[in-house]
Amino acid sequence: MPLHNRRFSGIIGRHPQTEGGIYEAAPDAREGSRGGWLVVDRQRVLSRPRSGIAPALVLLLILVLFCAVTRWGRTYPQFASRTVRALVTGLGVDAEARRRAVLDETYPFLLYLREVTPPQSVILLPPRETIIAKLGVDTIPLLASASSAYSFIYPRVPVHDGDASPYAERANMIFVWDYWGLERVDPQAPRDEEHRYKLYPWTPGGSPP
Amino acid sequence: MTPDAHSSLLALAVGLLSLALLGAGASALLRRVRILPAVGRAEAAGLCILLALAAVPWLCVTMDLVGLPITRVSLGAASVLIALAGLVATRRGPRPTARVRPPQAEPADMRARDAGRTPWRGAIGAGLRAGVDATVRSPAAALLALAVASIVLFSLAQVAIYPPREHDALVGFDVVGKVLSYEGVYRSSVFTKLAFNAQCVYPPFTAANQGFWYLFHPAIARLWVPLLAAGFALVFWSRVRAWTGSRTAAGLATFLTLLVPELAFHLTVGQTDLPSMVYVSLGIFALIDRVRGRARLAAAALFLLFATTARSENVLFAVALAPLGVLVLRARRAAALLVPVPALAFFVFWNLIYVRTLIGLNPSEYFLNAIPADPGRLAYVVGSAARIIADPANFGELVWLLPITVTLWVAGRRSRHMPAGMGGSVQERDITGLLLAILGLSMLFYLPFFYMWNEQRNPLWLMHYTFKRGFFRFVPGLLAAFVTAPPVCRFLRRCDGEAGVPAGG
Repeated sequence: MPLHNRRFSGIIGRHPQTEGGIYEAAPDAREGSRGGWLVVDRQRVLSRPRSGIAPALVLLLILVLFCAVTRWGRTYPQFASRTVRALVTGLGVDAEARRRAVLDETYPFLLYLREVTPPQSVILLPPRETIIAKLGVDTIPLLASASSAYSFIYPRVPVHDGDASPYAERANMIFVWDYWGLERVDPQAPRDEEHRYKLYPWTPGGSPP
Repeated sequence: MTPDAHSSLLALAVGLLSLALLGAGASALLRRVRILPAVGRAEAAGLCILLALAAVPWLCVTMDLVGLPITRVSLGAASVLIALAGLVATRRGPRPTARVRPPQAEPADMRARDAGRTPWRGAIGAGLRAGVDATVRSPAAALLALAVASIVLFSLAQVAIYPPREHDALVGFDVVGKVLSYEGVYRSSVFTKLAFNAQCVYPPFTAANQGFWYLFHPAIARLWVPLLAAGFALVFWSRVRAWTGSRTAAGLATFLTLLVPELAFHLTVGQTDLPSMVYVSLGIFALIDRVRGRARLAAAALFLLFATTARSENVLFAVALAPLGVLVLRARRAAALLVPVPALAFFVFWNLIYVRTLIGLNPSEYFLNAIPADPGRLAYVVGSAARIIADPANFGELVWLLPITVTLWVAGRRSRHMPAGMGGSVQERDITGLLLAILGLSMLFYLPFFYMWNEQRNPLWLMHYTFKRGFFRFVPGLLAAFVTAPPVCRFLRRCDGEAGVPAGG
């Protein structure tokens, strides 16, 4: 009787002590017991397996079409080409160059802060909204989030002006960014490139020293 | 090669070895207590990887709570201890009575096992012959397996080349992981010195795994992503193979799952959604196997506990499985009500004790305090979910698979020709129906999560991002339902060249 026409009622599996026969457990066999195994289809076991090349070729043809035509399938060649591009362009440069290539335009400011300030600095930054508005971006830039800024200037602590930060009263530097804050530390300074982005000392409590 | 590069490679090797020990020890312990059934080699390797990754946040949070510094040494030592515990439990403990019958081995596996008794040259030769034999017999399955492996390699290459660059990671789990590696504590200066983002207090899976690699090999801090993808591919392949008796079906489901556009992107970034998908899917599959009498409910509870360590809302999927288990199980139905208990316990621990009390942030501010009766809001949430699923930019043509699978399932139920090996009771053979029911019920439990968002802190338009990634959890189940639908399964089994290999596992 062909296997697929049988109405099974037990647990189906291979007997562990045979060479790959197809068996059916007796209906009253308990889970895990080795008693009551019935040979179902020894003929099929002893015959050579059929090749699945013809239906497999049909499936592969469908898959090739799928990868060429559908948005879902096109992910594969796109993923592959992006990976090759990443390997070709990425392996030739160092990690810092890769970071500069993929992180947003405020990343160099964080590098600057890390280079020019001592590790114990607490740096007052412009309000988040000011940074986002001046850059005119939909996403939140690295400089506009205390968490992401901390990731790159650690152990220096970033404090955004107006934020309820635990270190708000401990700021000892202020970062003038696109002239923000300049009127608080040097109101007479001209609005030129030299004063556009600049770090000044700051007295905890909210005034320049 | 410079000394720095040497030490870096050595640390990478030590990190991988620690994970291997952690996974092997955890697997052995869970088998000894009979939570995990005996499985084939591929699935055992996949489970080993997934258990290791799931164990890392537990180690980090435990060390943090007891005041033990989280360092390479402490993590490595903990891995060795767990591996030794697993070894001792395996060798000295009482042999478990097999309540769950081990899955059948594949012919190639059996030949390789037999070959293992011969000298190593013979074993390699037999293994190669078995591989060539399987490739000739089912070339589609072999090609699909290669394609899946290539996707994991693409993931590895991209996380190795590109630094973390996604917003949620940079303002949240990445900085927590990075500072963990500097300070040796989970509750680091991120939580005491900053006005930190909410992403910092997400459950610890992503941050802890990223911290693990910042400790061992900071150049590839997201190495856990391709590892997670590889582990999932092995386990998912094995589960579908066991359900359908077809390598081609297993390869196709795994390949198509990892290829979904938005999901493929997440194989290159380190976020919380990929682990959520992996462990929620494994929990669902464990329930399916329990219904078929081939796993224990504890496995479903365990995987959903791990899922809840990736994102808190995964607890809703654990809760969804409880009523379904009560409905479909034939024995010990009440036990299904216990499935969500571990996940709920962790949810309470993390949000109320760890985050609210120890860190000092109230996560409930992001949700409404009372359930509003607002049909407009409900329509918005459901409509947004439907639009996001149907948007080809997110999931390609995946949305078409829903009606197709349901149609095939209905057609399959009317057909008298069930694929061999899928016989048995209705519950045993109707994996497609069970999967569709679980996914549908899970969606019913998942959407209220968005309905309850507090608009002041969590605008509903953010659903575009959160639900888009949240839908990942449904993708593997949907693909598995598609390939187990009898007409599809019959065709895919013909591609294997053996029409009558029974489903096992």
